[in-house]
Amino acid sequence: MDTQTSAQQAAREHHDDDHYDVVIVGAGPSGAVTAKRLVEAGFRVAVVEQGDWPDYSKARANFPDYELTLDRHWPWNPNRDVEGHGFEFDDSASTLTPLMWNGVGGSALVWAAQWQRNLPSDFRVRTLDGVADDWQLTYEDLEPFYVRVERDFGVSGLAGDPMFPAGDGPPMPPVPIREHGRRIAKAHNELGWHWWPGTNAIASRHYEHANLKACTQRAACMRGCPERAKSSPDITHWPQSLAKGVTLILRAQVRRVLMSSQGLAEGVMYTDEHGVDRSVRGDVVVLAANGIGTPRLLLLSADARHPDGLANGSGQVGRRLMMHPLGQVIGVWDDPVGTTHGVHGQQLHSLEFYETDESRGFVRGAKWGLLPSSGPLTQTRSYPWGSENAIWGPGFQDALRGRLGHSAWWAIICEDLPEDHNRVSLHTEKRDRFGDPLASIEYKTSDNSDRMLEFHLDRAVESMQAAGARQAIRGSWIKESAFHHLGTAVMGADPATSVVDGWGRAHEVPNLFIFDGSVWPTSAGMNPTATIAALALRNTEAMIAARSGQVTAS
Amino acid sequence: MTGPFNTDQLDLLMAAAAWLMPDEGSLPSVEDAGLRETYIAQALLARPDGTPKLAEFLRLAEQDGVEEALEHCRDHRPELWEAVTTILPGAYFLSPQVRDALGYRGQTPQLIPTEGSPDYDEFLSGVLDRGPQYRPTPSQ
Repeated sequence: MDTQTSAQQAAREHHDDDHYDVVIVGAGPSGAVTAKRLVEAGFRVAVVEQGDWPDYSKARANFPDYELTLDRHWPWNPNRDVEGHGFEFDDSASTLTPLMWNGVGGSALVWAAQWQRNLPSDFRVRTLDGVADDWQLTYEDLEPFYVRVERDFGVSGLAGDPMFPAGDGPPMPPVPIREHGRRIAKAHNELGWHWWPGTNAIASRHYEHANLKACTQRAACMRGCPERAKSSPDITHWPQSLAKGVTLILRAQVRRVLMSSQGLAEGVMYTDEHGVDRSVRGDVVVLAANGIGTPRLLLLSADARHPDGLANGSGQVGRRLMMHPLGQVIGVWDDPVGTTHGVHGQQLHSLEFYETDESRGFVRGAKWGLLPSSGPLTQTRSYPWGSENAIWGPGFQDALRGRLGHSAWWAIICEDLPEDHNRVSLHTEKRDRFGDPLASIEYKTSDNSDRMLEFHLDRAVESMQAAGARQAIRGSWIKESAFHHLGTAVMGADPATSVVDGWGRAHEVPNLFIFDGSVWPTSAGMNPTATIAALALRNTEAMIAARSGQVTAS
Repeated sequence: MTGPFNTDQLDLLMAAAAWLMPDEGSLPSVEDAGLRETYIAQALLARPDGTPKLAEFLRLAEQDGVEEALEHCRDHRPELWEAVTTILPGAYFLSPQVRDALGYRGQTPQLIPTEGSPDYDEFLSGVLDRGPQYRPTPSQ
């Protein structure tokens, strides 16, 4: 019996008259970290999740039809409810589409598992660069929690990266660097540019602590790892948490936070898979529904006491949406460089141009991660190759041979700064199947982000050329590229300008917490899950320590 | 295996496949790869959502000709272009003859060695010699 089956059998059933210490909305990384730590501390915990368990029988990397079935079985545009993991929203006013996977494990089911801590400067953007805001904590505050979540998620990598303060590294050695990675590393040394072996939530060894098997480098990480070597909370967290007594309520759409007459949270109301309205009640409510779902739920929970939405006296709920503009530069080599396989994932990363240098014409920076290009169908796609590099027609066979096994790309994550007009709000007309307003996404990249992306694309072309690539192609831009959704319930010290305090507690509702990426004051230029998870663990421990003084509705 | 399309429709799909992936001698032609007999149908079993989109493409191809229909889809019907350029090459890459010619055996497992020197050791000194590069947390 595999761990998922065991976990499902261990799951406790919820009854509406059950009362919990903590009710969590969302079973993705932040909800998983929170539930695990709380149940270890003896809390009674219920988690409400709109989706279901992932179906690994549809992880097709060891079948010939793998590339054909990616979009069918592992979709990441939630507006395409292909297999029950959708979450409809209106992104017609956004230049980027938020991507996610809704279910047990959350968007970690379709992430590349690139695991990046933020840098110390990411927590002090206002102090160091004079823009946006500082966080309510420092890198040093979070560092011990990074170390702990790296063990729980089963991270592989190498300590000692000079771009980070010294300290403990991941529990497993890094994944192999293949020929394309070695060429890039050598080129960066010659250029005097930073690189470092990639840090990934991918097991480079069998890793019992988090139920992970050893990676077999199929380059299939983003769409169903058949080995269960890629970390996601359905594997690493939920089996243990369910065995310890967490109640996980699935296929349940949370529609409101329930509030007492005293203005305290009492639980949440949801509609179950049969269309029946139900409730789950607890002393504390934690929202872990991501940067789109959490602000929508707060806005949907408006009442007479909170006419503009729950915890929204500042007017900041839904605002400051940051989604990380993404760029790619593809290198194509004359000879084979081992790119049908490897983690996907990052073989290595570069932070050479991460820190601010205002002479470049913008503030802040971006992180690069190097990925192999995988199988033959991927070599024909308009993304990331671009329509101007379309492979069809005369020359197809040579072009295909020239790309397959010969091409890799830098994925470039640009930090975008918070702006009030980039936001999640409730749609004025469109409704979901329950009759609730859809989330409406308004988002446009700033001039600073546009200049940043241009600069980094140019430098990444130079990187590929220095590594001997015969072609260095700027990848095509596509709307469906926003895997990171941050900033829509910002933390801060002042209730007039922020939604939660530095511990995730809502200023206006002392037993309502937000533990997902919504609370980030700035977005950094890193893959965010490491920091989301570490912050959730830090804030959960604070909640546990403050248990005796916690105000509750009951 | 015939799949959802009749012989005339398969003729049009094969013409579209040959337009996208012409026979140039270094890989099997779409006919030799077995798309007509086997792999278009097999690809549609894997992606049944492609069938109605190929049917829509075929209506255009029957009306205007294959080449015109392909160019029209490329320029004006991105959802059909996406389906045609997924299902037909997807079928081509299912063919063992094509995989053999490419030397591509699929996303086969390659175990990570657990012994021996790390493959990055020879390069790391170039990075480490630069010393710390981050901006530390400012003192209050």
